Amino acid sequence: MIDWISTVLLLFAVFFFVGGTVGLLRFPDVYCRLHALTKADNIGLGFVVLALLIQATSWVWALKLLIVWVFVMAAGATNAYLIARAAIRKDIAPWKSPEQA
Amino acid sequence: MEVAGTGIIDLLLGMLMVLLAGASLLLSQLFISVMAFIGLGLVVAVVWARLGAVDIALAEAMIGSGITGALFLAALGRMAQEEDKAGRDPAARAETYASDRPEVAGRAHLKAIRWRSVIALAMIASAAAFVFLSVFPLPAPDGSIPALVVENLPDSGVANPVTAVLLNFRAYDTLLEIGVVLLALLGMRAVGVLRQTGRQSQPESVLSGFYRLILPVLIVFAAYMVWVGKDEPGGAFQAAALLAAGGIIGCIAGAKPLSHALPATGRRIMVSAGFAVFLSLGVLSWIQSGEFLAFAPAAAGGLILLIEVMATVSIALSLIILFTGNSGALPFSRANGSVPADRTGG
Repeated sequence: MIDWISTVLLLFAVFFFVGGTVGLLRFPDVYCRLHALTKADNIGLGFVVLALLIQATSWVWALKLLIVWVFVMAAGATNAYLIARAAIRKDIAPWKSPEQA
Repeated sequence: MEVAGTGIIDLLLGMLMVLLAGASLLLSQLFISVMAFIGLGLVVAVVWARLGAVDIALAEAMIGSGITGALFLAALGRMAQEEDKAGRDPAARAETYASDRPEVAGRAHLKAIRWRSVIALAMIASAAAFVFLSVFPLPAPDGSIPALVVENLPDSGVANPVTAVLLNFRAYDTLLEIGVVLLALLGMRAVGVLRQTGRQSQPESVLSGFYRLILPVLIVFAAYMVWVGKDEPGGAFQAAALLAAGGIIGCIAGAKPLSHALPATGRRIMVSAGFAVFLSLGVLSWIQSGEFLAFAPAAAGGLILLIEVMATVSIALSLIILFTGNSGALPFSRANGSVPADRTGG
């Protein structure tokens, strides 16, 4: 039963990782791509951690998994901010949809 | 549990390794090459982990991918800055490329470079020949070494076979590895790459917040890495990479440069302490037992821990200085388009 729940959670994770990758490849500018990548990574990794969490045999294990997730999110958010700011300082204008422009 | 898909995963990882290695070598855009190199390091780390070599996986991910990647990016930033400067001002361009040796220019300069390449190639070729001639006659490993390590593990003073090999049975190699880090630092100083920039980065709100969050964790984790190295995967290089990562993030976040925190003598002592302590202990054991780097089983555990702690401090500081330059100040200007005060006059 637990294996099945893990599988379902991992499939959710795959969905978000694939979504993030497609966004990275298809979105029009650096800001949109960052959005796709960071959001999908955080949630995708969250589902991976959840899937492994219910398999954990001890609470130390579970705690380690959660800590990994928290630090990856913190690092990912910081990196996204730094990349976006570097892009703004390089005067890369955010993409606008054709109607807006 | 053996799953049918694992072979496919290993195959994909292997192919990805070759692909990324090719990309990092062959692509014309340096930035993409660096990114491919960082990716390659992470894939190699995964491959090592799958092969059961967790120590190497950790070292590869942290030093091979993380710290080396940061060094490459710092170099790229510096190059972009120099090019930027050269682009703005033709005189500065001339200064950038000729300031080191104003007496040679044009053809004479090229000739000098050609001669140096010939000499360097000859030295590399003879070194390669030397290595080949020393390695070739060695007998092929007959598989008895792992058993030998396990058999002698109680005498090594540690419980992790990898640490036992690295710091006791084959301590000579590790001594030289620590020496290489020191040598890299000295080499960079000798060619004057690490000139003091005298500039500091602007404080970063988000990054300094992250720095404050991550630094204590990195310090605790590095201490744990050194301590756990005697029983489980871990050790000086891995711990040093963690500390260096903290230092590098701090430099980018605009934390106080090392030069302000430590006097030059203190830095020199700390950078060389690992190698010095390791070498002295080796010589001491030579005097005592007649064998270089042969630690007595009773004292080995403590000595190894001492060496690992000193090596951690030295390697970490070396890596940070390699990233930042002499002073611990940032090697490139962060603010876009702002010309440093000392350059506007020219």
